[in-house]
Amino acid sequence: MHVVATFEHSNFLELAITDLEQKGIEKKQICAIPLHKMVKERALFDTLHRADGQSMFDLPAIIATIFMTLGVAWGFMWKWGPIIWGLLSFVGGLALGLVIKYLLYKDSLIRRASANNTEVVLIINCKPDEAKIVETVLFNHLAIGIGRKL
Amino acid sequence: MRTGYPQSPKQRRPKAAASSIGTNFLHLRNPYVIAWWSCAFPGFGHISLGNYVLGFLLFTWEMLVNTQSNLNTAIIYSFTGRYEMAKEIVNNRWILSYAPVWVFAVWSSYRLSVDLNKLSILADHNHSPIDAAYMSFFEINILDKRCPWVSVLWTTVTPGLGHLYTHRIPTGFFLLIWWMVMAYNSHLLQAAQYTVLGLFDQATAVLDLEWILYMPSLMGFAVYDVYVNVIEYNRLFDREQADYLTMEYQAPDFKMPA
Repeated sequence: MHVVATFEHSNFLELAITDLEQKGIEKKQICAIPLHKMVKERALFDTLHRADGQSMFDLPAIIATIFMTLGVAWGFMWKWGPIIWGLLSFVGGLALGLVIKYLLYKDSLIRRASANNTEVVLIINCKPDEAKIVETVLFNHLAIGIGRKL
Repeated sequence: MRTGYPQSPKQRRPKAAASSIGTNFLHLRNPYVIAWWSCAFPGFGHISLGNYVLGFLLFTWEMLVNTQSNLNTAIIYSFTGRYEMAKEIVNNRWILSYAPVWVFAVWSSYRLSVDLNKLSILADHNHSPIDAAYMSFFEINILDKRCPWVSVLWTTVTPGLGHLYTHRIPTGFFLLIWWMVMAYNSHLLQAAQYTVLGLFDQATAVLDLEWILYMPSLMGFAVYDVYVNVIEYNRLFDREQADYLTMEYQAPDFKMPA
């Protein structure tokens, strides 16, 4: 029979596989299929001249730096001084940048978040009396979902 | 005539190189964002790309020329409408040398990021190998999943700490040391203390204009760079693990459920 589970990429996944091997499941009975993320592949072309995974943070950091520089400079003339105005304008710039980014990329962000969960499919070919042990090992190593096929 | 390459295609177009003090690797960049960080502080664009020697030298050049020419002080005077004071404070034995190197830093980092993007795509298409761990007597450098917001939080407390969390030690200590030098020379911590006590006039008076204006750029860059690093290291981890699993756990005679 087969036990199927989905995982995110992490060291837990490798711990789960080695744990199974220690409990007597042979290496050739285990098949791991890392999934390609379609969202990321499609985004590749506009990532060359725009940012890719980090795009959420580049504009906020840039605006925050400009605002903070101005806040420090003008803060010398204002009542609360350069420290408070520097910090306030940093936070304000960061927030403004995040809002702009969020509005620009709202749709693709939601799509990416939902595509991020499942990354690896693990299929274990085992005898019916081993299935319970296999499932316990997978469950203990943070499998997202587990199923079986008789 | 050469009959063959001494290196494999994977070695010719590497994806990553691990060492004790960090893993240098290629990933896609926005050239305009890299150019912007060079505008904010010459050297930052190159440091972000992993061109440490060039970046550190350009940064040190900027510190020397800006401090000697009083450029930052002149910028603050100009922004606050005190144009005559700005003209007086600038040191014209230094100021003219600023523009050429500044423009070079911006141009060079833009050009580099465009070229490195191409190499990054070549490395990805070649499935160039990635070291999952690099251990030596001095350090343990492992590819691992890290939390982006933890790195940002440490960086906002003190720039450089987030980079140490990601094990990018050259950037980490560089930012940390310069942040301390700037904090000392600008009297930032004294001003912070006065500000917390509500003594705003004293806080303004104690600050050094020349040194305080370096700090927003350093803080902004540190936060951006550490976030990008965590995201991209995590992605590198995924790729390395996916390549490993595909190689080791896809036996040709594996019986799929049918």
